[in-house]
Amino acid sequence: MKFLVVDDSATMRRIVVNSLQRIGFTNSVEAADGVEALARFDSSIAFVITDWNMPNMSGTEFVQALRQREDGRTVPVLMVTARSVREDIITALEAGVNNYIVKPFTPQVLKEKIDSLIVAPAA
Amino acid sequence: MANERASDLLYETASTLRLLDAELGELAPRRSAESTSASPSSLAASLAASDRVLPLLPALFLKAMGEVQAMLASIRTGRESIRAATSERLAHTNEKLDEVSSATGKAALDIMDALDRAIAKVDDLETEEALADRAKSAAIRTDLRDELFAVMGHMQFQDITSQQIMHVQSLLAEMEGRLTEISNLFGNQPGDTNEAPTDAVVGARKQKGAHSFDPNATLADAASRQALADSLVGRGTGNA
Repeated sequence: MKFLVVDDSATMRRIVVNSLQRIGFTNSVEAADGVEALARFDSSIAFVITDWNMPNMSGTEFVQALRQREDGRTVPVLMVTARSVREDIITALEAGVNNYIVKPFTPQVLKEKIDSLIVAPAA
Repeated sequence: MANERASDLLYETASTLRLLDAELGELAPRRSAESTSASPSSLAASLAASDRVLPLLPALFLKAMGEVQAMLASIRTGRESIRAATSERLAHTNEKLDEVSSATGKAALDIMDALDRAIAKVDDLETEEALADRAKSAAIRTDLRDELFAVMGHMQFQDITSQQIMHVQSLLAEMEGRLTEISNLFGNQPGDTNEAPTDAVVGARKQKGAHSFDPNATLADAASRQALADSLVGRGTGNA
């Protein structure tokens, strides 16, 4: 299963990728913002994990653009972000995000959210 | 707004003072002429001109004084609003920097604690009991990996604190913009070496990274914030 990890912080990308490896997912590619993520996304990507606040193109803009693409319409998207006010979470879900993790997170929470989307794939 | 009003008043005052200067300038050569040539006809003409100009001066002085007073009042108002806004933002900046400081301190302590526990696990691995019992040593190694991985998790503080610092930078850029407005109000004097940054430069600084941070980013209450997200996701808000 191939993951696309999108975050402008190299530290966070590394933490997410290492967390994925720890819970058994060893195949991932990385992008530093929404623009790069759209360029890197293809049908081989089975799961997207994205930050919200990024330069050039935010996480919500990226997800909206992804949902417009034929190959990105149903891919599960998990947002991992520091934003945690109610309106922000609703905005992300309306943009097409399937599940939401608030930073800082633990690998256990990451695993739970990924499992929930793999077991019950996005519509 | 206050600055624009002050600029208008400054312009009007300058116009009035120029007018005043012109009127006084008209008087000066005539007075000079009175003392030197003093021919009866020119003296009469000069007195006539003075009679025409002098009655205008009190009104001009009053107008100039009124405009200067209005300009000073406008500057005072502008100064007060800038002072209020700046002190509020400085307080917020201090608050954010305190948060960065405490988040960094907490993360450092968490990392130290995890490293202490990891070192203790390494010590446990070297005991005779662990060396003799493969299952026990395997369990200790698993615990050791968990501790080391926890250290990596604590590194998330870097992402949060960098967002907090970016927020502080944006507040400082905003204050810089306000100070630039004040500086521009008075205009640059010839020979000024410290040029105030232009609005475009200040704007660019504010915009730089404007989408890269969450002003409310925090390490606090992660569990309750996650619970809120879970409840909204569970409610099926949006496309989830």
